[in-house]
Amino acid sequence: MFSYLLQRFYMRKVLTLDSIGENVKKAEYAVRGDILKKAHEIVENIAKGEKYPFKTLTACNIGNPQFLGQKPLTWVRQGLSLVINPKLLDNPELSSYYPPDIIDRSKYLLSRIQGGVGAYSDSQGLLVVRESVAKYIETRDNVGPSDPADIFTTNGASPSIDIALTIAISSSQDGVMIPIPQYPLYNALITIKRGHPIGYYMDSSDGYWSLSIDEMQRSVDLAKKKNIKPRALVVINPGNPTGQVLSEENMRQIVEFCEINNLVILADEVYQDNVYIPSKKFTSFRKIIRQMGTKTELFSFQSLSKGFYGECGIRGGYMEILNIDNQVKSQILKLASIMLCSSTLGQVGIELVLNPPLEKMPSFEKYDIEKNEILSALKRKALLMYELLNTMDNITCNYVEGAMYAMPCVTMSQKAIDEARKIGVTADKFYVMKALEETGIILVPGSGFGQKPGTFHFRITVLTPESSLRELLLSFKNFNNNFHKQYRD
Amino acid sequence: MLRQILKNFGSNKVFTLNSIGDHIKSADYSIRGEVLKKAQEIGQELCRSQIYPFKSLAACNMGNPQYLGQKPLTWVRQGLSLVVNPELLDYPGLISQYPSDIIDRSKYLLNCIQGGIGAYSDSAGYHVVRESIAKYIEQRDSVGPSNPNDIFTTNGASPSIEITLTAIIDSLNDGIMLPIPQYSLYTALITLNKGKSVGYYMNSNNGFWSMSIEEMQKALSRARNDGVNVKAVVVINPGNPTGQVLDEENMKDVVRFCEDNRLVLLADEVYQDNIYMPDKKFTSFRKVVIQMNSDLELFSFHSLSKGFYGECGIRGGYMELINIDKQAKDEIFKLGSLMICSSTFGQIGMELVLNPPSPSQPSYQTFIQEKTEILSNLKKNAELMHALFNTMDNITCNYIEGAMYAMPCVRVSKKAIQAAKNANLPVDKFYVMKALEETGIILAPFGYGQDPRTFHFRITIMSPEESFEDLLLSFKVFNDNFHKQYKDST
Repeated sequence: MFSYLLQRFYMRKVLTLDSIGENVKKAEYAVRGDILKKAHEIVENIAKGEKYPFKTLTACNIGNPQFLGQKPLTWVRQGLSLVINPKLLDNPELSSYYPPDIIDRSKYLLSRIQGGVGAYSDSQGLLVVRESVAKYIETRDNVGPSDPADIFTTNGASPSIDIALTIAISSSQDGVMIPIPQYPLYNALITIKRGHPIGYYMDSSDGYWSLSIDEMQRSVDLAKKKNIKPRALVVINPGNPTGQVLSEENMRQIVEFCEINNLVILADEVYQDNVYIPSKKFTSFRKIIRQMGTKTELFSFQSLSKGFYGECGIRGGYMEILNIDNQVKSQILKLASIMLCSSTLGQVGIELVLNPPLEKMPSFEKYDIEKNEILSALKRKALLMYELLNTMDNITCNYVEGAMYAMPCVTMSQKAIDEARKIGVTADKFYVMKALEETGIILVPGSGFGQKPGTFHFRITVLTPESSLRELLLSFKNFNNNFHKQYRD
Repeated sequence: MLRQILKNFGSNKVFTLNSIGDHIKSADYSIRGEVLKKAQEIGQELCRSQIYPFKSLAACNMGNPQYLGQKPLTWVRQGLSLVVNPELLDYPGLISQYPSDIIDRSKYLLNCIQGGIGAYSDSAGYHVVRESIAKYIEQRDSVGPSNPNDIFTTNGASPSIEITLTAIIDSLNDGIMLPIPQYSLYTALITLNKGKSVGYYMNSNNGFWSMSIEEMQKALSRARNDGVNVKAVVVINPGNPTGQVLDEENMKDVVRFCEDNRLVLLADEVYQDNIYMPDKKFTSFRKVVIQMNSDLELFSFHSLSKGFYGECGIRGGYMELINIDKQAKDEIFKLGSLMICSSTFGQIGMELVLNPPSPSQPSYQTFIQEKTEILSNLKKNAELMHALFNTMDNITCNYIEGAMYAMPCVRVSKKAIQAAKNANLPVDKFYVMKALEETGIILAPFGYGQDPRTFHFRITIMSPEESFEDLLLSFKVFNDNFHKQYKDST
């Protein structure tokens, strides 16, 4: 009894920071990390009556378009409402409010979903959804059929990426090449799975971000020297955070590079519908590989969260596998089945977006107007952001060719770097924290994405409504110019 | 060029079965494994020909109620439809069919959700949802407040369980105790995380399943003697697949067992609204831990997929952390934030179900009617299944106190075991495959019982009611023939 009491008295918890694996502790997701925590504190402080030089926070840290006022597509929301509550279909008044094509589509989808959206679907995703995804891919690429059996729906693209990386990293020697800067999910997942991230630097010159095969070769050679076994290459196209849209020539070089170095391609293509520069267009890696006739192994990822549909919260997405060994595919299916299935509503959302109303259909006009409005606004905002950032002291910003972000480069004085070091952070994190406290704008420091040593960046979304964007950037310019004055060497 | 030729013959791929980690290959999730694959093949064949003695498949392998005809709750579907398409609020001809309380609730929720349901929420879930969850927990347990900041929403309960296991399993030697028989998600995830599964046998006595501290102690000692660093215990209550509903005394013993042995408790409580025996009721481990004034580290899991709401496809669920070290909790929440946030539909669904209409509200009548119908149906099926299985040769079936499954125990002859070996299958899979081919019923094989001449299979208690009894009778025919066919010659 006494020893029991003694034990209980001196007992430390089982689960502490010490007991948690290094792999978990090392993993960082800066998009929703420390800066966001600080932002939450500020919100609480404002609620308590504390005064800040701004009224509210503006979240420019995450690609979350509808949070900042972007409207959802009517076609999608009507379809989802009917599929969620089919009793609406029994209401004779429905046709007064919903166009006949979305009513027909919803009825058709329901006829192919046993039990409705409340039932678990196939672990790979509803067949009717995968058929539409396959058809979309075929039409987009024009290089032959896509097989619904090679498509796996997931809750956004992130769980697909998780599965692909689980397959890629089988031993602690395995490495995956990732661009620097990159969307930090990759680094985090590779770290958690105890693999090696092999960073290849993006090139930044003449106002453009680009990929360099020489740099990729350099990084893979260095990894091999360290006894790391490179297994896959992550390419984000259009880039996040860099926004570059790859040319077909560049993509062919990348495929050849992977063939020579025995790498599987993980192609993150979630921004395929976000291209703003008229001279550029999106090409899928699937198309390039098919055209080249190589048997390069490929995982392609797409999501319902971006584009002009921006349905982040609904969690829709998929991956398509190409040239993947059949036994490996079985393992992928097994991994998918452990979480049972992805959100049926995300799946239906994907079907509606990738199989939109056609020109003669009643919903088409509105659909087209909404799509163009959103895309043209994004294009204008991307351009405005690029222009205004380039007028700010010590800031240069590359063209925002695509995706949803600008990734300006900030020249930091030694004074600023030292000041930051005093409180144990990098200069860009210091800068971003000050920006938050003085303007209420939530950004992500470049260190969260990786950057060339000695350089500093931050990522800002181009999603703020046009009505307030200019004002926001001007208040940011104020902060920035004061910051550099204050910390002048 | 040579590389191309080799690739065309599939022999030079980067990703091959050989190159995939053992931890992935050994992870087994039997509920949607080979048996389901065979079922899919049969399903396709049924469209083409009449070679099978049945017209359609009966998916009794998964707790997937709406797939088998269970209706969703009107309150939930009305609420979700308004939140996904707020324009409905402005359509008089359509909104007139919605009671005022669901309209008010939807408007309130939309007010609390910046950007609507299409925006990412906080990674842990909308604050308004976590508040409702906390309130539900407080009312359910009556032992003091629950903190919304200790609640994390996920796509069903499974990702919560995954995140927790990832945080707990740090080295290859780390072990997690789980019940045998158990829901195979646990072994699959433990294997993927390169940890060790430490099984503790459930007791089967006098027609009832129960937990035995003795068995748990045995399993723990054995594992520790083998050098396994056992860190946590999984308890599923009500049990899956066993259905037992723990009583408070038993639960106190479990808590003390965990405290004495420095174990974290993972309480899978997704079937808390599925209890069929009148003398049993659900008690949460949270309640017991708090009443005992214990510091036990506890993770509680709940889901939108079961109960009387059965919204499997919508993916709603959460975990509540109790007595978890703050820094450990931060790491766990960080892991959760990598997938950004859970389905906003799942979150809203959870809010609607855990914060249902109150008796004075217009939606209440329908809500209660629907809830009662679904639960009494499940209860009826549970009783029917229990009764019928116990009339079948060489089968005994315990009472189904809760959850959604029966777990009959089949005693097999040496002849049957040999036949299975000849077919290169463990005998439970052999039996289940034969059942599939002869009746169209898809079951989940559950491995050997403690007695090597027995095995269990899991069958759901859901089926379109009209055919349920017929289904069980056709199964009885299959079973009795099976045992006749493989009777040992004495």
